[in-house]
Amino acid sequence: MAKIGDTTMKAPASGDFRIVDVPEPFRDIIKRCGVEGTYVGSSLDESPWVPFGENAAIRYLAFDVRNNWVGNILWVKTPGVVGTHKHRGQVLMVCLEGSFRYLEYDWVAHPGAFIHEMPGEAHTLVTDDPNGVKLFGWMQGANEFYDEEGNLIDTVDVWWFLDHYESYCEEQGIPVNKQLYL
Amino acid sequence: MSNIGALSKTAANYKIIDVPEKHKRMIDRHLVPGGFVGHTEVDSPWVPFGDNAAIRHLAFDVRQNWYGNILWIKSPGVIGTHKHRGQVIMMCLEGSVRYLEYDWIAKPGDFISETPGQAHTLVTEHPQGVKLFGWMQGANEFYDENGKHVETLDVWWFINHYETYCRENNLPINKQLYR
Repeated sequence: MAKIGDTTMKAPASGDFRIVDVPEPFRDIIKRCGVEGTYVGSSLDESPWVPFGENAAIRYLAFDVRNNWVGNILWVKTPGVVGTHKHRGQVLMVCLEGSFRYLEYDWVAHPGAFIHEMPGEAHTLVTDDPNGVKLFGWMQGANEFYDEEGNLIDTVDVWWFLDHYESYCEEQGIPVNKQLYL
Repeated sequence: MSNIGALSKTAANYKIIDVPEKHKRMIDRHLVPGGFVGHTEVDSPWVPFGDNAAIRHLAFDVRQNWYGNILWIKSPGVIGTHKHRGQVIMMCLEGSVRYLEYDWIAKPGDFISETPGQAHTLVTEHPQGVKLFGWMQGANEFYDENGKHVETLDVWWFINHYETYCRENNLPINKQLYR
């Protein structure tokens, strides 16, 4: 029998298809002070595609106003570009459909590819795929957008994305989904 | 860039600036206020931690499992061997502290940064012990003399430590401690 702290454990100790009652000395505290995780299903009722320029849309998954994290799916519908921007925080992305690349780098991301970006990176996202790209992204902090001359145009972060989502919901008369708020 | 960096106090530069904010509506709706915990025991009491120490809790972040506090060991003593599964940042405020496992001694103003995986035994040999500000993340596992795991502490243990003491002593819970 595998034990906690048993360094020989190769797989989870319980293989039974049933809920195990995990010992929890602080159940009351967790119930009172804990925050429940969230679930956002794939249907558009749970989170709609919000237009983002003429050729793209964003489907929001999570807003974390405490840490300035935003989670969403970016959909660029046909070959196109998301203008040059610089990240002040970290970004995790997984390519879901189509393909995309950055003008600045030499790789092309296809479905399943994982991209990890770091504070200080500035780049220009393009898709050459006839079907564009769908991209899961989890981003922290400020994202600065620049014009062709390198002038700073706008800085977006969790507040910009919240406004994008909630303004669209208000315009369309659809309810805000509380599951999106961490 | 001219207003970055400290300036002398004048009427012109000692005032609140209205910072442009395009998303004030969202901030008004969703901003989480920061916290302020003053230095008095009314704001947060010393909660006994064993027979020779106390903890003054400062912050509980149940979303990230961070907890902040001041550990006070009152005279030469030891906090048993423990292993961190998260990050720790500490600053020595008074007295001095060291770990049996390392070769340095922290004195007031010294900064200590610990990383997941580190296991060590905290001791103070200072006659007045030590006061240590600490900001810790995740699980902290305590082991006995034989290296046997005894208990795992994290934000829930620390909240329970604070709230139990408040309840027993009829003290109000300070909401500023909860992020």
